[in-house]
Amino acid sequence: MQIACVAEDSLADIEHHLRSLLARSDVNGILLMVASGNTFPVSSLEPLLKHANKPIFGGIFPSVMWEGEQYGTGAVMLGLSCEVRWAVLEDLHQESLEASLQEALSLDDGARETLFTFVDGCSSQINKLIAALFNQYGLELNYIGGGCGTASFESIPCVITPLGVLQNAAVLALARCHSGVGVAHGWQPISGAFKVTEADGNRIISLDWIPAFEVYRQVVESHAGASFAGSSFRDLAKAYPFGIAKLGQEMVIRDPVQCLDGSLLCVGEVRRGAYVHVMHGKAAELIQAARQASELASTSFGHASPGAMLFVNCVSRSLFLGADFSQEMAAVRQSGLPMIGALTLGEIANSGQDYLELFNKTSVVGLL
Amino acid sequence: MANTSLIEQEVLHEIAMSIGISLDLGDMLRECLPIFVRGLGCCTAAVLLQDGECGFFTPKCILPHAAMRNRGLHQAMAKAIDLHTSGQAFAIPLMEQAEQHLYYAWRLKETGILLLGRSNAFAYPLYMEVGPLVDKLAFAIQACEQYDSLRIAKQAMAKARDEAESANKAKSYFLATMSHEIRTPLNAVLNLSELLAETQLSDHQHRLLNGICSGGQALLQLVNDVLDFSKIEAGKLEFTPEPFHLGSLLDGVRDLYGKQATEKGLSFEFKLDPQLPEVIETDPSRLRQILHNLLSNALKFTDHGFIRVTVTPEPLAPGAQQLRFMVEDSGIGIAEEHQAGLFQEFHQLDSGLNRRFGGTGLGLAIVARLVDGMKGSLGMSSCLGEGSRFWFVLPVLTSRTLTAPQSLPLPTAGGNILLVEDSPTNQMVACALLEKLGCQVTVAESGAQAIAAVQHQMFDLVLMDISMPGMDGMEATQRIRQLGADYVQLPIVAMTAHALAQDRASCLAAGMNDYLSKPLQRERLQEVVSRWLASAPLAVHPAPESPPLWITYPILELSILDGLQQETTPQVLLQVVELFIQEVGVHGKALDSALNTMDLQAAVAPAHAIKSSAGALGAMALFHAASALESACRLAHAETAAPLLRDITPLIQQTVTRLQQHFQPVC
Repeated sequence: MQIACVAEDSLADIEHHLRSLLARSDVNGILLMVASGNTFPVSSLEPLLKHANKPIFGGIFPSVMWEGEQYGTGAVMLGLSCEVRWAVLEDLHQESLEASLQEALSLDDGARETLFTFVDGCSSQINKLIAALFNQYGLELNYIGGGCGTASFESIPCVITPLGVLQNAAVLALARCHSGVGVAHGWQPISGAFKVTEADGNRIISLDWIPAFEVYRQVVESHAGASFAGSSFRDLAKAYPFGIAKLGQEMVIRDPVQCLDGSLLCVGEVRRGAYVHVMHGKAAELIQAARQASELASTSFGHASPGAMLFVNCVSRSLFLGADFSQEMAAVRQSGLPMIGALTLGEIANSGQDYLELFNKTSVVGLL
Repeated sequence: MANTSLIEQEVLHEIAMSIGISLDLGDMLRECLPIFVRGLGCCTAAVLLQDGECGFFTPKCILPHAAMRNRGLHQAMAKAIDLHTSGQAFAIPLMEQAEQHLYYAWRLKETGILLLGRSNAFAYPLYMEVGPLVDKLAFAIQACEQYDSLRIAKQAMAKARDEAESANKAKSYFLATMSHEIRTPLNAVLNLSELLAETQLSDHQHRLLNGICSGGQALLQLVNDVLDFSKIEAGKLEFTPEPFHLGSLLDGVRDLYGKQATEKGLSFEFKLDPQLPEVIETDPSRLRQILHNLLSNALKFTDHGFIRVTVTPEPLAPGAQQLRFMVEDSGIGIAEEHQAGLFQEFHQLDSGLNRRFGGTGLGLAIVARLVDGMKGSLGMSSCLGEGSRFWFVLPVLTSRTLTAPQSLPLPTAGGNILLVEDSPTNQMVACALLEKLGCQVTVAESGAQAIAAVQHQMFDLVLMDISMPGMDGMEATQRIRQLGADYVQLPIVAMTAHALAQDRASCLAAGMNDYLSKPLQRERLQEVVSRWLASAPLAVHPAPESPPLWITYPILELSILDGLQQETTPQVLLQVVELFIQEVGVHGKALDSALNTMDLQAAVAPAHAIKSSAGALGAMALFHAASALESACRLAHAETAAPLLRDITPLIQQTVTRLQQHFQPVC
């Protein structure tokens, strides 16, 4: 497994490292994560992506991580030595996602494989993709990946695929390699449960038949001692995500990112009829949770020695932690194990043997 | 803040609420199984449904689909089916797989089994809490299955209904076609028999001929009944309300049936309430038909005693009334068990009576549908052996005044008539009838021959068949009108077999002056021919003292308006009417100016414009007045044009008022 990092805003350097990896006989596919702060147009990468003799997949992300540092420019890349098969879903709105998956990427019997999954983080179809993946591949895989895009949630071409850099699309890379995955977030409920009485995809319209923002505002302002009127929505909301109840495990986090006419727009779908709690976290608890994710990944990986760590962490988590985020990166690191990662718009993973989820504000650690 | 038991309750409630959202089984399971799996922290779910007949189990929904490849799930399914079939309880967990998956099973009441796979064990209380959810799921599955059965049954019923309706339509079409085809030659038989009866015949020959006539009339009545009923079934029966003298109509009915009742030795009584309105507005021919059908039955089934007709008014609102008509007899009566289906088609009391009295069994069914079509109601009461009482109530308008039809004298001298008709039978009948009226008849067998004939010879009147091979009557008329000013005034009367309102409107729009329904009825033919022969000399021998022709037409032919409304929408029709009112106002002023200066050429265009739009809207009196005015102005016939120019302004106003009254509720 080969790792490379470019910290500078340099297309030439990124291409150089990519070419070097492509030239290696022990590299069969490249995971490429590019920071959104680069000034060169991402489309400049397309000739190389399209003509490479090995699949290059990944995405554009608000930041990338390498060896405990966070970079707003440059890129990180991981050359996979195992066999890699890939598929691109160019239009997530299509009805038959499962049929497309079946046709494009069927499972081999035998060894447990790892499915790298990157999707346009601004797409409204992510939950449909997750359901299709779960139905098609079940839990016979380890899933790891997340939503691509920028911290401003601006919809742009951001999914890096062998077909180019695409928008409202997903890239799947099935690597025949052993992996271990750990998921944790550390957020705790600060309210009772509210029933989602009206919802439309990723928009919560009402809670207990009261406009969602009204309910949310009351809880948050009372807890934070601050008012939404005095600050931007995201400044206050980043510390107060929703949690969807789930038995025996941490709640699934949904991050409200925008208030629209009294309703709340989240990253990821919230189903009508679900119960949600308003959550809050302390930096120490979140960092402890990230450490726990790393430990869970080790447990899941087993006794063998991993070659690299892939850290997929939510961008809003880093915004919330601010300067403490470096401690979170340090907490997940394991001695002697090289680490790369990215801040994502929603995280995709299966925690252990359970239902595949799109997470928000969560730390996902993959050991490869 | 949220403890485990609360979270459990939230999760269980969310699962409960996700069950039964759809009545389609597949959709319902696809909706709720992911909630089971996610909420309860499972990795697999499967619903096995048992076939009610053969007892086999089928996996209806497995989540994820990929779990189909999982050997452990197959083993768990096999084990659950074995235990279920042998009536043994499921172990908790049902099975523990080597790969650390645990499978749990629940019985779905009367439907099958639910399996859930998990990577760790359910706490026993939670396992028990899932039980009520499983029961709800079982009920939801049963509801979906029942819905599916109903849906399939409904589809089968709809298919059977469609087939039955299709067969019924085919039957109606066949009956209508056959009846129509029979009626034409039958009418020829009757008309020619009547003409024959007026020749020198021996008594014996007269008796034989009377037999032919009465048999033919009975047959014609049967055929007309079938045709009427076919039209009713096809929704093609039209009602043409018009003002008429109620007394005159009832007198006609009394004369006809009174004579027959007296001949049969029955007392025949007509009790008319003195408060009855003189003039009412409804469809007189349909009212007459209802009374005929009821009185025919009364006459048929009464051998001694009486027949009584009572008509009484029942006020509704100012300008509207309903009239109650009652026909009573002291005939054989109807047993109670036979009364229920009396107004259904082909209903006859019993086969013995059928053989004795004959008939199609359609009479009362037609009455019921006619009354319904006229927005009335009907009923009956009867006592076996004592007699029957049939009544119907019709809403009618009473505020209208009736423009008395002008009785025109029959022509004392025959006119010169061109008969355009391709059917030899119809030619023979029409020629015989017209010659009996003293007319000279020239026959053209096609539209082309008709055009040639009118250029070759002067005619007082053209009777034009509409449906002819090659050039039809419409086109022939249009071409005749285009031959020049001399042909604009030539009266052309359409003969059409399907005398629907839109057909009549099309005839008038094509430039015809009037229409006759086929098969030709002697009286109606005589009336129309007389009227047009009387008006034909208009251009040559004007008769200023005789009443103008247009007053014999209704101000508004409602059936044409109704036809337009069906073809468009009430809103569009209203716009058209508003436009018409504006236009005739402008044209009316132009005609006023023309009258002041007696500039007849200036009156041609507005008269033509009024004629076109009035005809299209069914303003028939105005149409005919404008038509006559246009002809007179084109011919520069001041003596004819002057009274028309004077009359047309009040007629326009009368038409506008009538239209406004008609559309008042819409406005």
